[in-house]
Amino acid sequence: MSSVDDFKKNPEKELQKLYSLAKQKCITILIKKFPILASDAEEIFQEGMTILWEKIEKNEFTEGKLEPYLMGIMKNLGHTRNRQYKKDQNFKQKKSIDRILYSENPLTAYNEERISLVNQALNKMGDPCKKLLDLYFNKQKSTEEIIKIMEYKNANTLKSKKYKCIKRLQNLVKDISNCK
Amino acid sequence: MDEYNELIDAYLRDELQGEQKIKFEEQLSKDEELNRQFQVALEIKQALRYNDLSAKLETIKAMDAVSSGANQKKNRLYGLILICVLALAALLWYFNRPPVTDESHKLNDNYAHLFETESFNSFIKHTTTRSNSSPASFEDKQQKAYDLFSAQAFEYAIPLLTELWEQHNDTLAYYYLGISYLGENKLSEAEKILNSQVVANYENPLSQ
Repeated sequence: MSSVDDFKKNPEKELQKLYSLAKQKCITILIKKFPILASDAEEIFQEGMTILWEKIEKNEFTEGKLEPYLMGIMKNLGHTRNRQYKKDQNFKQKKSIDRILYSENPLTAYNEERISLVNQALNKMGDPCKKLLDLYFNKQKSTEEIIKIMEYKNANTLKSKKYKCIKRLQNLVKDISNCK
Repeated sequence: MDEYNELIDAYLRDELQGEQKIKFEEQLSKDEELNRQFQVALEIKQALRYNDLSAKLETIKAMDAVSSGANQKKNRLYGLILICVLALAALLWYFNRPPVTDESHKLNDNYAHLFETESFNSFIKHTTTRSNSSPASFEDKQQKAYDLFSAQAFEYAIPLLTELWEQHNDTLAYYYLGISYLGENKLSEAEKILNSQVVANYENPLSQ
């Protein structure tokens, strides 16, 4: 059974290994535990794998075996889906990504239109800025780690680059929304 | 402004705890400029995460195809290995199979001459005395059994001859039964009958 350490050495390989080994077992457990279809169970498994990957990347899961942890994530996703199916039939139609975000925090509102706008701006901005903001806001790396990855001189350089990137992004968002 | 940025970043990176976090949230609801800057940073964070999660999800979904492909390949490989093992086992068995040492075949060779027409006819004793008088139906059965014996159809004659002996004490049928067993290469059964006193009046093919 793979561990977090194995995963960090070669994420894609370990994910593929885990996918092949655990898929059938996890789907069977989910179908037995919740009144859901096999297609739902497969989606939950894929969503669970995605969350597991993110949690390892963000150092929120730092030691232990992957499969039992994945099973825990999937059970939470299964409970959320089961609850929501009873309340809201439209939940079935939601995209996997939206279901992941909902299961994490049902109160967090994601404005899809704004997200799409910011994403267009991020893509226009190019790699160094996008990478810096991703490391800082999404991957939540420490200042020292970002300086090392981005090969900056010091924390002040990082601060000023980040400020410039945010400003540039805001301007791009404005431009894009004005064009629409 | 710089202080605002640091607070927003710390909040979004989950670095504010307890009272600090509550204080920031209160400030956020009162300070419009702070709230405006916070919304910008939050949107960036959400967009980046949305992007990242979507990419991860796509990668995971693509693993399904790789996984099924790998399973198909693995199954094909196992199938091929199984066929090779079976073929090898069949070859090994063929070249190492034990030689045929069936005693009955030796017996057949030893007594084969008895079943050539001329010799065999000397064992047909239909005209000789029978032990019992029998009803008509019995005679039909007897005739059929004897005919089958005469035709050397021993496989079919044996059950009828056994019945004639067991139910009607037909000694000739018993003698024919012994020869039939010999013809069917069942030496021990043949010996038991042909060496018995019951058929002592008939010539014993085993002593020829």
